[in-house]
Amino acid sequence: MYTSRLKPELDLKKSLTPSEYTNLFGDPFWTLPGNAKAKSIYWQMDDKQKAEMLKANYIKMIEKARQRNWNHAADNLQWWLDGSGFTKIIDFKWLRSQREVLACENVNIERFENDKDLRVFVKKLNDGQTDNYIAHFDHSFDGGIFGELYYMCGTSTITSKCNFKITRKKNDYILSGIIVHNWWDIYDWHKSAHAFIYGFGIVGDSDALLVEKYCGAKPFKMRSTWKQNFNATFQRESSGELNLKLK
Amino acid sequence: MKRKIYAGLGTLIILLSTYYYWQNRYVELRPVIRKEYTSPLIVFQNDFYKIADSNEISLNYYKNIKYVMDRSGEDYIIKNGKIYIKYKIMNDMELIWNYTTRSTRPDWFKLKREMDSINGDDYKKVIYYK
Repeated sequence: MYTSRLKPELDLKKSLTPSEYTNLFGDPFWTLPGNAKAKSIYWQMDDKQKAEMLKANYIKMIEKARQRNWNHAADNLQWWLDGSGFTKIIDFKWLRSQREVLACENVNIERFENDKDLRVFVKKLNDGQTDNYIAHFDHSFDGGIFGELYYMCGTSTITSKCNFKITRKKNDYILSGIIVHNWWDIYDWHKSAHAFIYGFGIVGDSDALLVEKYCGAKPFKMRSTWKQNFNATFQRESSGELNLKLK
Repeated sequence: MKRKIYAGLGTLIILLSTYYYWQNRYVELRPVIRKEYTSPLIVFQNDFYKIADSNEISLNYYKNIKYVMDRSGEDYIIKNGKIYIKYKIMNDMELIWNYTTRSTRPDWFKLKREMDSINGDDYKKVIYYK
């Protein structure tokens, strides 16, 4: 239960109205300053009380995100505040609706298309021979500041693993198989980092670390997996390159 | 007029040759790791990565990187015990990060063993690829 160790005039719950209490940062996007009274009290508080006030701000962020229908970003912030630390599985259909994720997926597919290891692999195949080709590539990316992805994770990674069966028929190579994309990130904070949060300005990660220390919030892993099937026929050019197109 | 065209063509050839030389010169292969975080609003792909200091990288990198480069079909030369690759490859920091993680984590080796076992190849002899 909350008990104040401050002088009565600094008691958060008694001194500030709910709107003042959650308006520490204001809205710098619209050049609205934070509540001056809330700020002056904030700077006189100890770390635990600062953390409680910051937590109130994070709850406000969740409300704002839900108003914008950014429920994945809101859910993740809530998951972190709840502090279970359990891995969160993200809906891959939603992820693939984000242009950054699709672009990243395509980068990895292009890596397979241009994979030098695959070139030497097909070179050793004899006519009529079928062999399996397995490889993986990682690609890291950030969400753009105007999209929800920016708010729901940090720099995330897609690890794509291919498992192709390749048959040589004279000068043609027939490929069939899958690529499994595994998206992952850790929802955590870094002491010297900061991020621009729409409606809240530039928020330091050190704020979140204070909330972790005193309010039980906890970092967690996020992941999502999806699979793509591929069937393609390609040839080996005289330069040794493959005219493989998977998209 | 002709002189101007020749001068323009000459400049273009010199610029293209310089670019070709610059991209294809051999530079030392260095391990690449992920930066802890990136904060700028506009991020270029190479901004996610940095060249690792020797204390930031596992010893397995030095032990395995030659095998990884061989197995990845990558072109390189060795001078004084150091691996050199083309600048255009080294400049693709994400690809080198992929090679670095392959050399330091067991999952890539496991994957290749799995592939060789399915194909009936001898895992240790698969370097014949090169």
